[in-house]
Amino acid sequence: MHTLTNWLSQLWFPAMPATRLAAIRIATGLFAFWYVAQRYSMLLGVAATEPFYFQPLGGVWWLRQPLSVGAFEAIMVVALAANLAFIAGWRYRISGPLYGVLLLVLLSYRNSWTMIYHSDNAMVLHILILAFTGAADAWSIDAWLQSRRLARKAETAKPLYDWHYGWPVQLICAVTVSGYFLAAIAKLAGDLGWWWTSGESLRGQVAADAIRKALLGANPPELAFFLYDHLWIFALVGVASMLVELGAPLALLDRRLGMFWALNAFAMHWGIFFVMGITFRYQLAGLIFLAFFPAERLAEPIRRLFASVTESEKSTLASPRMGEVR
Amino acid sequence: MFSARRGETYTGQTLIGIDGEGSRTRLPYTLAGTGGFNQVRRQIRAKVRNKRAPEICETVAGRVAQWKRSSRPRLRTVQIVTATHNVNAFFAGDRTALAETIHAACEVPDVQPLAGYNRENR
Repeated sequence: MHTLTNWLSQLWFPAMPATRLAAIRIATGLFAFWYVAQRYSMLLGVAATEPFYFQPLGGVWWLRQPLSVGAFEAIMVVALAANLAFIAGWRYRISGPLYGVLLLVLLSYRNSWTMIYHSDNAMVLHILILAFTGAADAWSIDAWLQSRRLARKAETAKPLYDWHYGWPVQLICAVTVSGYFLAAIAKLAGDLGWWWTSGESLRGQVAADAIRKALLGANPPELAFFLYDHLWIFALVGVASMLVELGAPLALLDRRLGMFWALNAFAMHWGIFFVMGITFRYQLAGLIFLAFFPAERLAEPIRRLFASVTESEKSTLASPRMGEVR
Repeated sequence: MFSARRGETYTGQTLIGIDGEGSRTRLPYTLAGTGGFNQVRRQIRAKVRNKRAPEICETVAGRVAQWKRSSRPRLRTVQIVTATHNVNAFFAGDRTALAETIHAACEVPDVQPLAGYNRENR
């Protein structure tokens, strides 16, 4: 029993550097900023859609009628401002939760007009986890201010390698694998059950997607037409994607297994993109899988650059120029 | 993800534009609404199911009218149609629908061409 408790404790509360959580915060925050800012006009257009389509859900389930476009735009502007504070880690105890909640409201509202973009869920959940944990204890304005305060008082900073930074990373990973695992359960719970992996169903999905695009003047992906007659390819992809989705929880048990799983799931999304032309951007960018990797190493080139600049400045100061007297 | 079962046929809505000679053109979903392909697709379906297809027809026709200012085909009529296709035949190159239901048809309104358009095209 004691061994099991220890194992679970190690699994769920591993010690990790604060910089890992910080790296995930910055990368995810940057992506979310781009995601909303780039859709600014489109989101305003959605908010201006006629109320007939409005079916509030998620974070805005309580709304009786649509917001005015002005009110929605105000929420979007505040969310983008909070997003910047989230990235910078400025007044994070307020800006973090504020941003997390505003993003939930914003994307729930966007999903309340007949189409739920499930692919956004992981991003919102990841940001909510980051928003309510110590993701700004490193690489943030707050951390920089804190270090200056402590230096003035000659106090020691709290350790930045701790289980406090491990469990949010594990939770992000758990949220990620849950989505995939639920997708596998949905397939197996359907009429076809395990027969889903035969490839027929997947081919049917690809075909339906291509036809609906053709019917509505969008470009169906060429690869779908090329692959349609090769059922074995769909069977292969069906088995592989079922393995990835059903095996997702195993990714939580071991870091290396997690990385291996993440690479396979990442490849699966690119496969979906090429065959169906569906752009799950957070997934295609690989950011949904970032928590499975030592994300802090992403900043290593920047750290080296800073180190080399600082080093060259030191050496310039150390060696007096010709004619200079020190 | 992709768990729904699909049959041998696919039924979906389509926007059709018809010119003066009766030629049919599939119109892009962007004429019907905003918010991305799947959102607009579902909105068209919602209007059709609620017998409010004429509303979307008017919207599309109004936007097609703006095309008269560009080099796009001169369409006279817009139709909101539900079409059923045989999936295998569709992928074999036969794009003919097995069945079609026209939910709404409306004329493309006349829009005064721009002065620049008159000079360039007469």
